[in-house]
Parts: sequence; structure tokens; C-alpha cells
Amino acid sequence: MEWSTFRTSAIVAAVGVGLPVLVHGQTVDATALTLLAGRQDPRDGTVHTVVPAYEEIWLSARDVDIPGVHGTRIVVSGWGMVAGGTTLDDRNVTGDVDVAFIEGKLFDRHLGVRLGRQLVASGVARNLQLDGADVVALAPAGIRVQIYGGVPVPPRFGYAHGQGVIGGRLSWRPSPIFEGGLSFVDILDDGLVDRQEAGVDARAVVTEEVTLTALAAFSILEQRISEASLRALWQPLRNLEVTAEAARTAPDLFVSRASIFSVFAEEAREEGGATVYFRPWARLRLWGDGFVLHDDSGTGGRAGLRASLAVDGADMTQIGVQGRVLALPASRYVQGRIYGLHRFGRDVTATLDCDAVWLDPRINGENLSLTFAATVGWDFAPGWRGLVSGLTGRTPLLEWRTEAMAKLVYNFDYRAKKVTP
Amino acid sequence: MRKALALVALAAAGGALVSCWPASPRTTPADPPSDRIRAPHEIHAKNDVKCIACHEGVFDETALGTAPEALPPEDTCLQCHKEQKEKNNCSFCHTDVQHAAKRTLAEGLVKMSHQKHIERVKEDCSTCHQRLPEPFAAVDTVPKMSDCLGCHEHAQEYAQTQCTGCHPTLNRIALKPLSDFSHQGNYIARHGADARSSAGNCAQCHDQTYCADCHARTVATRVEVKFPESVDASFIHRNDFLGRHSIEAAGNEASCRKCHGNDFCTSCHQAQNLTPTAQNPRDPHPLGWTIPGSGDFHGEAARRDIASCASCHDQGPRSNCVSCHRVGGIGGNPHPASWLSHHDHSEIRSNGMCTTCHF
Repeated sequence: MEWSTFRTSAIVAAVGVGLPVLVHGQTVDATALTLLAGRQDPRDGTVHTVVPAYEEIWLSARDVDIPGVHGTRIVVSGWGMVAGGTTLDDRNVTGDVDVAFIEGKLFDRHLGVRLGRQLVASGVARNLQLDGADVVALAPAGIRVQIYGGVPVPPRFGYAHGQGVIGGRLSWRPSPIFEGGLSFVDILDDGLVDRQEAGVDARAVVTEEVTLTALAAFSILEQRISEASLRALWQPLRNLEVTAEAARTAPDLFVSRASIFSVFAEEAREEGGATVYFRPWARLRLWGDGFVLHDDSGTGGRAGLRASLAVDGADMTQIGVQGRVLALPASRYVQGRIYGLHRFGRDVTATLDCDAVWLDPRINGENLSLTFAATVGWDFAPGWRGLVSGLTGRTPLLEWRTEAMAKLVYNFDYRAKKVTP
Repeated sequence: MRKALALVALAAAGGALVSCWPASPRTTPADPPSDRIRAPHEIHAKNDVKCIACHEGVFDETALGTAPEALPPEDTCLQCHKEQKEKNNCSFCHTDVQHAAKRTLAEGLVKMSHQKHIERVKEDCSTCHQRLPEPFAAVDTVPKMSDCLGCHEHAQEYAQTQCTGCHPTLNRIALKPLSDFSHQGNYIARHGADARSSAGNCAQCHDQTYCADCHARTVATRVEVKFPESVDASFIHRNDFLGRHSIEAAGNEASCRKCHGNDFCTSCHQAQNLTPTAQNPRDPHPLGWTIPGSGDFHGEAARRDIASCASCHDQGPRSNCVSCHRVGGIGGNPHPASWLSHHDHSEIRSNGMCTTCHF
């Protein structure tokens, strides 16, 4: 049995055995999603039809009574798939666990512990998915120490990158309006360093209207900054928000240091610009952004505009238009999109989405991608939703693309400790 | 195959378990009863009626809404107002006699134990309840959050964003319009920086399953496929992303690589016969790819965008680059000019990958 499969199986078994025991008589929020899709998958001129059926479950159990532990929670999400047709990785039956952990706070909430499969986002972790432990200790004066470690989770369609990871963050949060931190991460891959970075981050609410966010990550191995960003968010009114941002990345440092490709380049990419959100009228929302990009290939830019209008006061009908441009020295695209949503009564909702993209240079000999999508959803019982969707159009990879999907969702919360006056 | 079947069987069993759970679906709260009890606190206080005389049940209330006796039962009122009942003067207490009903406690939105607090304040209820409710008065008399934060312990919890110590769920509580918490605008584009510096804030409202929908490397399918009805959401890979993905990647390859590794690209490019190890490989490169100075020369392209090379050619240390760029090979030194400034020669012996070229 492969090590990664063993780990996933162990997590599934632990959840299967431990969950019913631990959450008995507690509060459980859960969602089950069943999805049956049919899609065309073009591969080098041949169109394969794939019909996958997914079962996905999200589950969160809280108020689990464990003596001496506060806020114990068990969180699980996982899925299984059975597919007809030829899938990309030749696996017609598969599944995985996205998240499965138990967490709680010990010593009068001064020590938080999370064990299992989880995501770590803080500092330079860069949303690391790992099987392991994450421990956060709260010290006086708002000082917080986080240490995490384990084994990185192998991605779908791929092999494991990294056999071990350790990282941490030391942060100071004297009040809710400021937090600053120093962090590090070290990922090993087959005895070689995959990524070894240290970073500094900060977030400060300067006034009630202005928040500053900054991050700098430094590759210890390459002695270069891999990522740095500075952002100012200004919210002068509840309905107006302006963000100014400048960022610099070294894209080659996002390639594993254990890859042969890590020795060929030292790139730099800069980006600066602003985004605006304005809601001049309760029914109308406007978004806009514009950025200048610069890298070793030259200077380019990206910009976008979007407007969304609730046609009636009851928000039964909504329409939106969107435009977006990405212009690089060697390539560009222009996107135009119109979408709409209408509610038929309380329970039935329908949507339409038309998307056109003009590509330059041509991709696969085509410079136009045109897609139309529609959905109809029906909340047929409390907590239940059924939905069918279809997508059709022409794209650079398919002369005529057609997809269909049926979805069934069930949300519920179960409270054994129901409050009964 | 058996392992995969076992996984799916477990997932299906989990689904069945969830479906069969004795569930209570989310429902909207029932309309509040029209009848209310006239309980003028001010008059009671002036007549020196102690809080405990009526609200004896709070001594045993460990969580808000769990002790029915926290509100006085009718018998308690009748200890003083028996004559009104005897005179059938129901409206003395009930505002809607036609729909007279027993008072019920609302579910507490805050975790709070009266039992613990009443000891700490030495039975002085006014420490928290500085204003008392009067019949039909429009003034909100529920203690404010600032009253709770007056206590050092809760002030510290607030400073450390330990919201869930008091708020079991924040879903029903409107947050202040602080820019700190604003999710307006294109929040998808900027949420990452907030999460890196304040992951604890996010966790107050969002389970990791919420993050995992997009960020887990193990997801079943794209979030745009799972939620096609969310036409207003700022999803990244909506509609025909595949058609424009090469331009997006050229514009910000680091952004792609925050979620997708080399192998993610290679798995699909291999199926497209774009990788050198594919069954029937074809050459997607321009004509001048191997001609120095042609403008399309691969060395300059690699310096500009090495991740694009890696998206097809990363077959481990012995990828096809090494056949020319090894020591003594015809490809020459592939390292950038500043390479030696931060890589000592001694690294060759300590780094196993260097030995692929440096024998």
C-alpha cells in the first residue's frame, strides 16, 4: 500500500470510528452533496466523454465534551467518485479526504491543538495542506506562538512533493487592530530542500476606515525575496471601498528547490494598482480594478469592470455585466460577460451566464471562446436543494462543447443539546 | 483498485450516515407570541423586591436559555398579585389576554453562565444589568458587549480574537463596518493576505472545510463546477478557463503555483502529448527554439518563465534539459549570472541534485 493511500485510509478509519463516539449527543452541522456530471474532455484532438458521480460531505461537530478541553471541534470533509468513460488519470473509482481534524483549547484556552489533515495559512505557509499537528500557544501581552509540522498531502494527479514539513509563526497582537508576525517554513523533499523560507507580516487598522496589510517572504536557500506585498484598504463609507496594492514576486522561487528547474532562472515580477468597490444605490454594485504588470518579458496590465443590479427591491431578479482585459507583451485576452438570476417564488432559482473571450494570439487556431451556461435550482424541502445545469459553446479546444450536471444538496444541523425552555 | 473501492465505499457509508442522521433541518424561527407579560422592573425595585425573589432560577442557569425558572413562573407572581387573578383581571399581567401564553426563553446567542457570574458579582445583578426592561419601553436593556469587556478576562479574549469563547456562532451577529472585517469588493483577490497575517480572525467564522473547497490539493472538482448557480461570485476558473489558462499563467505564474504544482500541469499536458515522455509527443515550440539569437531561443524563454518549461518537462533531476546542460555538455552553463554569489561550490557535494550534472 502506498504511504499516501495508507495515510488517507487511516484518517478515514479514525473518522469513521472516532466521530460517532465523540460527537454523540452534541451539535453537528453537515452538508452532503451528490453531483452527477457529464462533460467532454479534449485530449490531443480526441474528445473523451467522462461521466463522474461525486459524493461529497462536509461535517463539523462542536460542543464535544472532553474534560479540560474547551471548544473541541471535529471537522471533516471528503469525497468519493465513480466515473464512466476515460478519466485523465485512468482512475474511475477514487476518493480522498480534504480536511479531517480534531481541535480544542487546553489550559484555560491558552494552548490550541489541532491534529489531523488540515490547512495552514499563516505567515509563509502558503496554504499548506498537511497531515500532522498545529499547536498555538497564547502568552501574555498578546504574544502567540504557532508551531506546525507533519507530512505534506500529495495533490491529485500527482506524486507527493515533500516528505516532511515544519514551520511556525511568532506573532504579537496587542489589540484587535494590530497583528505582526515572524514566520518560517521548511519543507524537505527526498532529502533535499523543497522550500525554506522566512517571512514577516503585519496588519494594522490605522483608523476605522484604513487597514494596512504587508508581507515579505525570503528564500533562505536562494537569499532572495520570493514574495512581498503592501496593501492599503480605505473604506470611507460603508458603500465605498478603495484598495491600493503593490506586490513583487520571484516566480522561479515558486518552483520546488528540489526540481532541476530551480537552477535555470532568477525572475522578478512587479504589480501595482488599485481596486474600487462602490454601491451608489442599494440595488447597484460596481467593481473596478486596474493594475500595471512588469516582468522580464516587458510591461503589461490588467483591468476589469463589473456591475450588478437588483432589478426589483425584493432581490428576485439580478443582472450583471463584466468586462476584463489582460494584456501582456506577448499575449492578451478581452473578456465580456453577462449574467442573470431570477427567483420564481421562494424556492426556485434560475441563472443564465454568457461569456465571450477574445484571445490573441490564437489558441489552437481559434481566437474566440464563447460559452453559455444555465442552471435551475429548486429548494424542494427545508435543507434540501436540487439543481440541474448545462453549459454549451465553442472554445479553442472544442468546436462545440456541451456539459450537463445534476446536483443534490442536503444541509442540516443536529443538536442533541437542544435548548428547551 | 480495491483500495479505491474501499475509499468510495467509506465515503458512501459516510453519505448514508449523514443522510440517515436524525436531523432537524434549518427552519426560520416561529413568529413570536403576541402576548407579553407586564413586569415593570422599576416599580418592583422601588418596592425593594430583590431580583432573586423573582429570578431565583438564574442561580442554576449554566447557559443562557437553559433554565426555565430564570423567568418567574406564574406562581411566583401570584405570591403578591393573587387578588388580581381572583378578580379575573388577566390584563393586569397579560398584554394579549386572548392569546395568553406561557413565557418562553429565547435561545442564547452568547455563551454565558449566570451561575458563575452571579458569584463573581456578589449577587449584585446591576453590575451587568445597568438598565432594566420596562413594559413597552423601546430601550434595549440587554447588557452591551462593552459591559462584558469591562472585565479583564473578556477584554483579553477580545484582544486575542477569541470570539468563540462567548459567541458559539458569528453567523447571526452583524459585524461592525470596520475595514478590518470588510469582505466587500473583490475579496477573493485579497483574502489571502488577510489569512496569512490573521488566520485566527478567519477561523472565527469559517471552518477549514470552507477554505478546503478551493485550497485543498485533494479536491474532487473545481468550486465553479460544484456551485454553477453562484453567477455573482468572483470565481477564478469560471466557464472556459482552459482556453485562456496559458495567458493567465504567463501573466502570473506564481499565482497558479500557489495551488498547482508541476505535476498538476504535467498530468494534463502529458495527455495532450505535449511532454517529451508522452506516448506520441509533438513539439509545441516555435521554429527558432534551438537557434540562439532567433528571438524565440529557448534559453531566453527559460530565463523569463522557467515555470512554463517545468509544466511539461519536470520529470525529476534527469529531465531532458540535463542531456545538453550537464558539465561538458553542448548546452553550456545554464545558471543565471548571479548564481555563484549565493551558491558556493561546496554545495555540489552537499546537494544531491547538483550531482545530476556535476559528476
